[in-house]
Amino acid sequence: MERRLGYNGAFWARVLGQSLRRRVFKSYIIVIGITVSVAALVFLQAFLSGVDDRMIYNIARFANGDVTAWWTAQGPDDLQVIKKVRSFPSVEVAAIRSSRYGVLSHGHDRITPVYLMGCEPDIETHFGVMQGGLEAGRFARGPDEIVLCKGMADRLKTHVDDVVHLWVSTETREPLRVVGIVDAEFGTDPFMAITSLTAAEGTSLQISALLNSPGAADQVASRLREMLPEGASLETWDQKPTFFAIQQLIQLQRAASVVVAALVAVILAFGISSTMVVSVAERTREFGILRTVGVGPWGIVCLLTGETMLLTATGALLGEVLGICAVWILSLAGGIDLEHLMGSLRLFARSSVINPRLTFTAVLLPLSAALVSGLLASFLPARRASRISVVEALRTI
Amino acid sequence: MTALDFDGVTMTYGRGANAYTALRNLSLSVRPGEYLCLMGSSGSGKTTVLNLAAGLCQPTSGRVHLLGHDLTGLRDRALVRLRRKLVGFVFQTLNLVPTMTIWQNVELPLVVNHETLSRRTQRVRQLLELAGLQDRAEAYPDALSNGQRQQIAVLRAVAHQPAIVLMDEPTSSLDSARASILLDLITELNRSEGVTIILTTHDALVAERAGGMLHLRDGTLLDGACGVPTK
Repeated sequence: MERRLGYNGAFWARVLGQSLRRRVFKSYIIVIGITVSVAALVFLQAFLSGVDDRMIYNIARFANGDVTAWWTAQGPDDLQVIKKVRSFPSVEVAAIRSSRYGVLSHGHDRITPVYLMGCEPDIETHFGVMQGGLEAGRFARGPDEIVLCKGMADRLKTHVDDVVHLWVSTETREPLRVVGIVDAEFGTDPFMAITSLTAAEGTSLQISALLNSPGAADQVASRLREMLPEGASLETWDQKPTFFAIQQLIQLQRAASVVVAALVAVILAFGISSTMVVSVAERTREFGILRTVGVGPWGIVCLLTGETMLLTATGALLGEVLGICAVWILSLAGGIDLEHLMGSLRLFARSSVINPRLTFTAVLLPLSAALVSGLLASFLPARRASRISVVEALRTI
Repeated sequence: MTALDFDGVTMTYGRGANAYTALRNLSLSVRPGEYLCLMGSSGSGKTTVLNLAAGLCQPTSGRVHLLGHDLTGLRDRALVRLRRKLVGFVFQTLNLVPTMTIWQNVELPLVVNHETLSRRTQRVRQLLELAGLQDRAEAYPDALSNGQRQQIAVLRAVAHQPAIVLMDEPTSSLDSARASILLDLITELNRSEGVTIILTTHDALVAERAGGMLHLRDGTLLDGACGVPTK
């Protein structure tokens, strides 16, 4: 029995292919329509994922804490402040950063002025500053290590494991091993481990603290002020509403993308369905003949649905390939800069370059939408075709 | 057992003022292996007899038996199964599925009857050779002449060796030479395969080739006693 079904399957598969070849123009129209729609949906989903990434990345860069203080380094005791701040019960996490100007050199003729940033890698991971972006190597952990951005590494012609020199004065030169390289989007500042910069004269220090409860910001600021030298700047701000706004924005985007996918599916379904209705009307006699030979109503439904699903699947797969290629090409080109559209928004002030990113949703949602709409759009006309009276069907020419 | 039995069959299309009675209390019997011709002018009820015999429609009253199976009141699924096994059909024109090759058109009834590939291949080859159309096996119907298309329709109707083949004016679109070739094929199949054939026509020359003949007029049989074909 199984063998017989296999033979029958091959017969119907051949007939199905022939049927589509003999209606080649209609087949092309359906396939092209589905291909373009699916490709557009894949790209849109990937683009929206890229927008999400950009917002999250940007917010991670500027939302450094609920309480932030800056002062000029006084000496080794400065590092004690961070220990005290971390002991506050309302502080969830606190980071200290240092920054100063200097000159980096590699070889005799390759030198560049830099704004050096010292930070604690483990803590910064919590803030999101050091997440992602590492192209090679690792982040700096010790006093004689440095991470460079790609542009600067290119300018100095350095690679991971090379040794560069940091000039903090004309006489003082410190050798530093390049342990990592981050991509250009990370900015231009080289990172170092915190301990290498705190003692240097003219270094700026910054403490950023994330609190358990935002209401405690003023209290923490007041205690911090007591520990800091005179003239230190102190700022408090509540970042939770911003994160909440972003979350809402992302949820809104996701809902919108599902609505767009549903709309595209409905439009596709109407397009396929109307083509099917015309096709059924044209082939009524053919179905009548098949019924007299002994093909049952479900046989007609399977034949018509099979034809449409084959076209839908072909179009959907081509659309997937087209959409994925478009995303890939755009990624190679460095993304889309939407500064003129979004540059004025705070969320996109740092960078408005969107890199579309493929996700499971971006790939599977358009494919599912196309297949479901194809199935629904073909099933109803096919069911109608199967219910036409054989006698009536045979009267049509 | 008779191949086909009509017992007081009346068939009325439409209702009320639009009602039209195609058959009136028709009774007839066809023996297995018989080659019967139903003659009559347009509107005499010939096609309705064939449709009822194939279970494509249900009589308003009376009973239709096909090889002992009472078709009256049978569900669509059961009718499809009976038709698939027991009946072959040839229409006046446009018999073939245009998207299938000649080979596939003849093979179709064998496929729906779940015959094995070797059996299908053997049977289709045998039939195409019988009609001398084996070299057109891979052609599509639109590449054939009217006469060849009708020949293929006849081959398809007998491919699965049904108990009865119903032919609705199969020669009406053909000239006399092509009609003669087709009738030769039908006669040969009736003789060699023993298949029961009921053929409708309004052409006396076609009717002469059949083994028996019944005249229909306004839905009733002429020629006296019902079910006794005259020659």
